Amino acid sequence: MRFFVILIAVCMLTGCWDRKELEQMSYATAIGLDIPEGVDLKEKQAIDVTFQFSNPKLNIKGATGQGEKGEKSIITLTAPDFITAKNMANSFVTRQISFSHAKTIVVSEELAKSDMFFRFIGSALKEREVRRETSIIVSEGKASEFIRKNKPEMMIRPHKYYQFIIDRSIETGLVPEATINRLFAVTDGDADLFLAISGSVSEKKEGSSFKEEDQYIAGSVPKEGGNPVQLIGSAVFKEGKMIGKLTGEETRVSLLLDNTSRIEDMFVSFTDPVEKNYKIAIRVKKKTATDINVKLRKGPPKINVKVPLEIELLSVPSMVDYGGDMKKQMILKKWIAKEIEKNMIALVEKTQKVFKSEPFYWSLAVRPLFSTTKEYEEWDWTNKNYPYADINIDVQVDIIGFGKQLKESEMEKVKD
Amino acid sequence: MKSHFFKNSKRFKFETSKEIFDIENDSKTDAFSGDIAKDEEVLKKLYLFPQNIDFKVRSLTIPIMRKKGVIFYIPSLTDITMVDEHIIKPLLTDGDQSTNEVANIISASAFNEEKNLKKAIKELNTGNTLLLIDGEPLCYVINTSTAAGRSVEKPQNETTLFGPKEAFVERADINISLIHKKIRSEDFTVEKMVIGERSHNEVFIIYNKELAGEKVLNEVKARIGAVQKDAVQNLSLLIQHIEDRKASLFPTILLTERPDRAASFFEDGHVIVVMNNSPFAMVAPATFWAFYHSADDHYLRFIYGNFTRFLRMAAMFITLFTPSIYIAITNYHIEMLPPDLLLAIAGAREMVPFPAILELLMMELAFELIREAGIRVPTPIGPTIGIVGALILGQAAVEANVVSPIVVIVVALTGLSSFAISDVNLNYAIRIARFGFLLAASVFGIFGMVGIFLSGLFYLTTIKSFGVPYFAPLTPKYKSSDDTLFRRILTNERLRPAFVKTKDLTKKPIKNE
Repeated sequence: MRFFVILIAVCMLTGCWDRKELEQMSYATAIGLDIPEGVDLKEKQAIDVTFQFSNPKLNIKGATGQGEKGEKSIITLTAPDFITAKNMANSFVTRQISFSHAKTIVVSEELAKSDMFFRFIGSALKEREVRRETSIIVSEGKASEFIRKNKPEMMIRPHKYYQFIIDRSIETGLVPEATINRLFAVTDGDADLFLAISGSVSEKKEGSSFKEEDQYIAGSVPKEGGNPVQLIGSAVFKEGKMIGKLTGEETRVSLLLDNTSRIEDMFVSFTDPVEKNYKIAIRVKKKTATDINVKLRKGPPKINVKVPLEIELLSVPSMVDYGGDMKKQMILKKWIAKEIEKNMIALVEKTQKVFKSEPFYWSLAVRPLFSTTKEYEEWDWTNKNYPYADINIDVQVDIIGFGKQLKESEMEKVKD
Repeated sequence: MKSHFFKNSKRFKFETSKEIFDIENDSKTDAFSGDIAKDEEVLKKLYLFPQNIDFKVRSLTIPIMRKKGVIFYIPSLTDITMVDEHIIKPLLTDGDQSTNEVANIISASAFNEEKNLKKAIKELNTGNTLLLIDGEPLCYVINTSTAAGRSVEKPQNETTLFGPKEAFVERADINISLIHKKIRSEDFTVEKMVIGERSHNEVFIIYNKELAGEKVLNEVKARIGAVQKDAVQNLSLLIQHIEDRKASLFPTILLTERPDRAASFFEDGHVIVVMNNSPFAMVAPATFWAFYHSADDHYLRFIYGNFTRFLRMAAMFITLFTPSIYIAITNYHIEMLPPDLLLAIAGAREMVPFPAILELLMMELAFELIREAGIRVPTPIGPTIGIVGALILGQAAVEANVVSPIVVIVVALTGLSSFAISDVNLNYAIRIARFGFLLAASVFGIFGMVGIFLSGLFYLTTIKSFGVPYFAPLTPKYKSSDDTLFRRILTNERLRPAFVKTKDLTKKPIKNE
């Protein structure tokens, strides 16, 4: 008898009776953060919050895609911060707003460059519904515009769009993996740069002039048709504040140097070392982890970086027979290693001179060299050492494949 | 004050009426008098002769012995042709030489003398024939008992693909022979006990005298002997008298309708109990694994058998957890759902008027109703129940937006999986336990489920079946062939389970002749 009284009391007193059925909530897929117009952030704390909701009705058979209804599921309101905006929005949104399935937080460049950015995004750490794996996208224009103009090509649901495009872009290495978790880890570590995904809305065709496939920044990829929203390159954050941008190529290079990244499907083109007016396309993969060897010494440290890469030849328009000729293979290997090294050294110099810190998370390799945190902090990796460090990069290339067909067609014979 | 109350209760004394002792003490009525007319009168009175038509008396004069005799039998339990052919006919035949030995006249095979009237009546009640001869203070008991019953048929509940296709029937002697024919050994021992003050039910305890654990055997006998009830009709009732925890959710005695399963338990040193009127054999002790296993696990090849074991375990967990996981995740752990599934569930629940837990309880209850009705329904209407249940409850309820289609999937999956648990008792235990999980999940989410699961596990490790821990030999660890979750290759199963306390642990390889 006593047992049952206790059992019932335990259930009545401790159960989560304030829980909600899942159809009683609206799920925000994307959250956009902007500086409200005409508001000076230094005087008043205010933020424009945009929510894009997933519409569960889309699931019902025969329902059309987003279409005009899609607009109604995107709302923008001004609030002191984006958590309180949840409740404010309920003045016209019927259901409780949940962040539990938010895929991305889109921040306008304007806000990202202000001091307030990290303060606003910091509230995501307190709110338990926000996932730590939510990606951060920095949009060139307004975040609300970025979300509104986003029309995925196959009318898929918004959460699918963000999930797929972010996953795929990370695989190709054109954008970095930029989760909230990493932002906080890097910023709190106070030693490295955080790379956020750089995005842009651009409907103009011209972009900028044609370059190599990955040398663009968001918004300048020449294209026609399709979704006006594009993700390429990265926004560089130092101490929670945006300080610059990297192109797609620079992002890829930084990911190759970074041991915490994963690149799976990186297609790159290089000038053909034998026939210089042609370009060859290769797939680059990391063979093993990048080896970062930091030598402490008086003055700036010496850093030896070994990058073991595997490449696969995908297209050889010059019809040079790399598959059958060992000598040419050697030339190719050296050439590609040199090219990649050149890019890497250029990026490292840029980070040393312009950003005065590195986005490669190398502080992870430095930390074990000190026995206490205090020593490490006094030594000061970012400010005193990295910008002056002597960095040596060694790229080791292995060719692991020549595409499906090894032999090239013999153009001369074909032409007769 | 309290202690005073208890003291008072001691003042009550039980008075026993003298008549109870009279019957046992008065040995005069127990013996046959030798006066045939007097004994006949006693028996006739006892059976209320003229009114009771299920009692026959046949008086005759035996020409060979030149004596009078009387035959008593109960026609509904007796093989009448046998009485005619092997008792009456030889007795009435005028033989050449005269003899005083009844044994030399009667041609029935089983035959013995009985001096005690009460014991003779017991025999008569089982269908044997009594023969009284004038001047002899005893009676002859001739084994003529037979009762209507069905012949050996296919098992109904424990079906297998490769196993033998015979099942126990309602007659104990046939059941014993079904087991005995698989073990042709002099160690095969059958003991008889009679329980039930009024109905005198026979209980047959079967064990291997070289293998069966002494403790378990004594425990079984003691518990059966301690049953105080005037009638215990069959095994299903008997096990409720002798099981360890009578109010426990989990069964501790195995009932099987397969003689081959009973035989394999017999060979491992378990004790088998068989009774008239029940087409089952009882196996003691029984661990959790005995309920979890099916006969096919060993008849199928190693990999196939383990595959079915895996499926059964999966089915068990699906039955236990699917509804509660659905409730826990949709109510408390929404972030665990992939967005597409979340939207699918939210979209489907849009029009449903009830909270998810109510919806699910309704459907689970409906399913249990269909199931219960399916058992009780007369066979000709059986198929209709399935159609009505599936159509009305599934299709119509979803169409009418009373339940969401996801819940129908959950309930159907749960129901279907529950059928893979072959043992009826374990099946009920699991099905009832899942409601506990469901309620815990609705109040505490996965945290509550973990709580119930852990306390369930704690409980299961504490219960015992005839002194054997329920999860043996997994925990506590015993020497055995590890026939628990999965089984080994047959040639590697060399040990009998040690928890039975068998006298011979190893299954010694014996050279074939």
